[in-house]
Amino acid sequence: MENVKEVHRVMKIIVATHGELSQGLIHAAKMLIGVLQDVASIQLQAGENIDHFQERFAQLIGETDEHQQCLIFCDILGGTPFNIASKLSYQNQHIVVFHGVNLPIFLEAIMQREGKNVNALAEELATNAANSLGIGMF
Amino acid sequence: MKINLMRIDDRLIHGQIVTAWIAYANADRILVVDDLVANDEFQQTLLKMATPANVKLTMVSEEEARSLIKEDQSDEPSFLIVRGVQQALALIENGLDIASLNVGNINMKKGKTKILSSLWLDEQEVAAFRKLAALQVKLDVRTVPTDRSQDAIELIDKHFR
Repeated sequence: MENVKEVHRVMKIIVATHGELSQGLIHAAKMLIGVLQDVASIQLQAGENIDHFQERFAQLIGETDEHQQCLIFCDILGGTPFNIASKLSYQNQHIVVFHGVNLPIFLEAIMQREGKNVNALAEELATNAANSLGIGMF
Repeated sequence: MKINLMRIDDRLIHGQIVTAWIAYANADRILVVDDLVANDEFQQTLLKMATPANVKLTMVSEEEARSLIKEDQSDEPSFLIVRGVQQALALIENGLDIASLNVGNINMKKGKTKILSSLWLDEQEVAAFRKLAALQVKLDVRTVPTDRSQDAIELIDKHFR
């Protein structure tokens, strides 16, 4: 018998931020590498009810099958997108939350995710994160 | 205990707190007084994760807070956060000496009246705010420090008689 579960298993990436930052990251990434597959975004709106945000977030996660690996990028440690993502990650071991995303890290994840375990990828990204920052010297 | 800032926020620790208010309060410690958190290890874990590494976090129940406020002799600058106005009123009625109370996010819920997009109140909450005003506590409504400070009672009077 074929094992359907092993067939298509691309790691899903979700960007969760305050306001339009997540859409901006996706827009910029498309300019650099083209079409993005299995990448989604969610924005916490100013004044949005936090339960409403959590419901929308859970719904977005619910669209993936529960065994699919999922990496959630958040903008800032301790922010509401991070806090809610952490709650959802606590309930599902296939979900990992990374805070402090920037464009280079986001791109690295999209391009390096294939065949990787989501925990290993997140650790790799955190280890390499400092390489994405620097000062332009002439 | 040296409380530099006291705030009502039903999200407890979140983005506005970690980016703006901790710095504004000049606090080395966040003190969350909340019965739900005090009895929920998962919530405690989340709050610990949300707290910046250079800031201490103390989480206590309302009852524990009462004795902590009386007995704590340290002058560590602290930022006290409670979930709602009833909790703030209880602490102040039990002897917490605070001149000004920052009013942040109080979420929308069914049956509540919208005061601001970040501030939804029911009759009980309005009554509690009025009691605080009668106790001479300044009620400073601001979600972030750079907001114009508005007086809670003035806002309430536009919606409740």
